[in-house]
Amino acid sequence: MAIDRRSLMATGAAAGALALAPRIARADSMFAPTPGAWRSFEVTTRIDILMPEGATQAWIPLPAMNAPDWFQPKGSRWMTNGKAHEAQSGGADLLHVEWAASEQKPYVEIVSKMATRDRAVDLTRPGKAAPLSDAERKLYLAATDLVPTDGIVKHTADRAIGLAKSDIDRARAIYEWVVDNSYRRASTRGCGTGDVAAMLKSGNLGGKCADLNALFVGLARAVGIPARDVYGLRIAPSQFGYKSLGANSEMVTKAQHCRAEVWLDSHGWVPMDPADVRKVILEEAPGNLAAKDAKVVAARKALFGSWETNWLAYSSAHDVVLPGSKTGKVGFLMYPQGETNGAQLDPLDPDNFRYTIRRKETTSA
Amino acid sequence: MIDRIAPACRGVLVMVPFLALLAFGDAAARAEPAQLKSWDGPAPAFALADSQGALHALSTEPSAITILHFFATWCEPCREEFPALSRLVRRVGPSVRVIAISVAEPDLRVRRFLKTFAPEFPVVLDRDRATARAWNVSVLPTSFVLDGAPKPRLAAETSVDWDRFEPRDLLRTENKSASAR
Repeated sequence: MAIDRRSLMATGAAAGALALAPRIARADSMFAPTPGAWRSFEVTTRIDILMPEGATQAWIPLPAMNAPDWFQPKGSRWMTNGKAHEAQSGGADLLHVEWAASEQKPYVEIVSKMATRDRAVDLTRPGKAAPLSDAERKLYLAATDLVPTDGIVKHTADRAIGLAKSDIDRARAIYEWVVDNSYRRASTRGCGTGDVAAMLKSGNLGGKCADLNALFVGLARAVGIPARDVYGLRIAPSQFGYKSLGANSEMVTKAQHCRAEVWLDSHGWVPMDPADVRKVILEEAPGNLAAKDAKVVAARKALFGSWETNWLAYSSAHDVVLPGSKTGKVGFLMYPQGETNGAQLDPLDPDNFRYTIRRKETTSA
Repeated sequence: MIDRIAPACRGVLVMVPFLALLAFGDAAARAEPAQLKSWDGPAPAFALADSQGALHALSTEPSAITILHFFATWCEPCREEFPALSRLVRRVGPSVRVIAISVAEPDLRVRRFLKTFAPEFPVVLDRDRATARAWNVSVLPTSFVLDGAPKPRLAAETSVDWDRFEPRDLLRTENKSASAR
């Protein structure tokens, strides 16, 4: 059994068992996240390869988005009967674990700690942001495997922005266009594939967060606004009473969620989440809400410029190469990935893979 | 507002020049299910492994046609089409060779799918979408019918009624064209 604590950082009192009872959701439906107190969480990802067929590997995303204003990773530690090492690939931090063919019960358990707080950018006032470097601007304007920025994507983006001139007006026009023209499709597996060109070419703009927010990012990039998806996991209920926008149990194995950001020179990275607007419309009780429903209106307004950070952020990496993998790269790394005897395990089938993810709030009183 | 097209899965993928470039009226098209349209495009080579690791590729088979069927296990119309392709193989025998190409799906998900459907043709894995991209596919299911050259003659970016497909008509047309040349 190998234990690696290299990346375990001091967490002070938060490391103790000070788990708090879930906070009571606000009774009103006003959705208006603002930066407040920091909250601490501990997330445990457990992987047991149920049916190893030979040499086996796994790649598990680690929460590593370093955003001092709203997300602070506090390190991860792990225990495994394989050989594990931390790796970076294309901007994603991951744990790569390898098991010999002789290992009959491969497992790894990772405990990650983090602190989060809600995030809001006041777009009504002039901001002050350090400039985006040329390299970053290039990165966040570039096409990816699944998100081209030319052809039908560019054509659609031009149509969506209309006559809007400034980046903020263009970003808003694209946000509204995505909310108006897409829909959340409950039957989409996982969070979707994020194949933006396919969505537009087919005319079927149904999907989940990896589809709808990738669409937003692709359209923004196509008109020259740096943008990125941020891949993560919901880890707590919404404190604004939106059941659809939170993780409502300690088991968060299927609570993956990705969001989006655009870069505005005046304000820096600005949070967006048009996909969650569509989620509110579909899922908030009693379901299939009208666009003018108060809950929808509040979420739609807030999710252009703010996030409730009951959610952890893995990374904003696209096209992630899995080191040592026979199956190449993945469009994004939000689910554990695995291979046994060269065959790819199904990351969207945690029961057979098998993996579980639990969260615990450790915020001090 | 963009129309919401019921899947034929907006899947991973769309054949860009597809509808725009198709020309109707060829004898081959008249003999086929309505979903199949005449298609004149390249046939990018590939060599893809099935879930057991065996490689499959396009090959010249003058006495047979090949059906390339791009699909995904999550795509409902694809799931409905699989048994029809098996029936076709049983009905027409060696004059048709079917290769089903799973697009960007994990091996073990495909294996589970195959246990349920037990197709009578090889199913290969296009893990990184490279082959789907080479064939300009982005709607699933998408199928191509190739002559023995192998050259694409027909294609559909939707489900096809394979029970109505008669390969002899296509082969006959092909032979006629060859003798005219």
